[in-house]
Amino acid sequence: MSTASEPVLQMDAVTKWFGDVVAVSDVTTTLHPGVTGLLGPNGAGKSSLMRMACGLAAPSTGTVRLFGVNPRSDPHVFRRVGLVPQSEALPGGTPTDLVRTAALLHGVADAGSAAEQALGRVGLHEQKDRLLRQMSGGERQRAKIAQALVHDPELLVMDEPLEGLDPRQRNAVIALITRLGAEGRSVLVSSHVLEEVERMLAETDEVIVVARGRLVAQGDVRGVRELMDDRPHRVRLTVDDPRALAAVLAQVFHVKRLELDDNSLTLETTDLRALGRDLLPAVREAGCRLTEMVPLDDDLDSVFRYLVATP
Amino acid sequence: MSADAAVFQMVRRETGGRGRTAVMLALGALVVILAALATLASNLSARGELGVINASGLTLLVPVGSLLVATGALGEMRDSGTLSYLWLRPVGRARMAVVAYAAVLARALPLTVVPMVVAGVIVGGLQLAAAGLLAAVFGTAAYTAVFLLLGLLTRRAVLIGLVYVALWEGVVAGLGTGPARVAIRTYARSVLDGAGGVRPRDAEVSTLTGVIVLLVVAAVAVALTTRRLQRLDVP
Repeated sequence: MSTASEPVLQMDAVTKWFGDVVAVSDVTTTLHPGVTGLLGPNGAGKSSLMRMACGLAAPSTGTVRLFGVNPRSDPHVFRRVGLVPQSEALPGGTPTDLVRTAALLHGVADAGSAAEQALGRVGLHEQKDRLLRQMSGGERQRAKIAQALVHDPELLVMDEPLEGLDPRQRNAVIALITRLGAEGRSVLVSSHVLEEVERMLAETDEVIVVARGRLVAQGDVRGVRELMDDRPHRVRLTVDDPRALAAVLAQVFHVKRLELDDNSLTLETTDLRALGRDLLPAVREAGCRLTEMVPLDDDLDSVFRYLVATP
Repeated sequence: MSADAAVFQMVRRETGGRGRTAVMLALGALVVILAALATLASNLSARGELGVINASGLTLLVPVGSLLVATGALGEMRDSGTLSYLWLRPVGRARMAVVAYAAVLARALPLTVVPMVVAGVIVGGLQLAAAGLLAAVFGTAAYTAVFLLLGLLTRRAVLIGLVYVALWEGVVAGLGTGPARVAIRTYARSVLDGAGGVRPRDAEVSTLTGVIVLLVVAAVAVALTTRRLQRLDVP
């Protein structure tokens, strides 16, 4: 999807390394208004990407433009941005302190009532004067969201905002994110669970999939799902009698290609889950011994398997 | 309330940890007690009176107290993961550094100045109290600025700061005027001596030079803190 509007965020050939470790590798992407899901396994570089997106970290190479400016050199652009950090750490005080301070730092005219409103929006009105450090993970998470919303930002960056929430709170936050997108705001939200992100996105919204620091897919949800679904998954099996096993597997409908070797069998399937279900019975039927199973997937496949796994 | 006041309050709250405050109060009490003991034990010369305040106040309370408060500010916020709640706001970095420094001073000054003044009164009366006041104010101003910066440069700021105070200022700076010239203590001592009515002796630094150097050190450290805030990767 692409719209004619000004890009909210533009990353060009962005790479980030810490010492010898490459966290983000050559990512180029553009973010448009609406909700964008940033998907990837834990450790894929999502947090590093998000931190660079909002200016908290500088890319090692490449450029980041937030509303057209470099956020590292112009802090005034932060007026248009709200961040829900992944870290659970919060300053001392109450939710009111946290959110009101955020409003003041953003120069909101009536900080007190803006804070009240933001806390109401995340359903934290009754707990607003308790101490944050005595509150549950879910309440603290919602306080973090409120402080990111209080100045009415055009872009919200939310790093794993559903972490630590119970199912009811998850639904509430997902509904909130959907509403924020519908209001015309941009939301960049990361998750390692595809289904959660799918529920936040409107039909025209995009997902960005990252794995091992690289952007492996970007597009609307259906497109990315199909892209990943349609790819054949390659698996190499080490067996004592590849020929016998191949004969049995050839009867299985989702197995598309079989390559034989002396002691191994490489197959392609369109349905990994079904393969998991059908493989052992097939081995038993062929009367052979399976000693190893190696997926030969490229990044996208492995990410997909990870993402669709039930959380 | 303005954005500046919000920065001030946020940093001030972060530096108000109970452990740190307890250590500072204990150090302050030590300064007062040592002053009282010294007065009871003997009749001191003017230089001796200043020596008492210098020994416990300027070599221990002011640097260590400044270290504890200043590293508890921006550096510890970075380490604990709360700095983003301050950093990602449309506040100029120079302003942020200056106001954070002011918040650190507001927290540290009462804890360093009061014991120094009380010790001055106990040991030698009003002039010595005034000397303790000035030395504590200018010394704290320089130490806190340097340690505020140090907190943003390293995660081991407290350890490195203690090594600096104990080894560099405590040992190396005593070995010659060269090293003494790059020790904050030398200049704080010259303020104490000058205001206390004794000719400065350390590295032959005049009182005025002492004040100017301490203020310049503070200004340079705050400027470098600004730069560090601009370039830092915030976790």
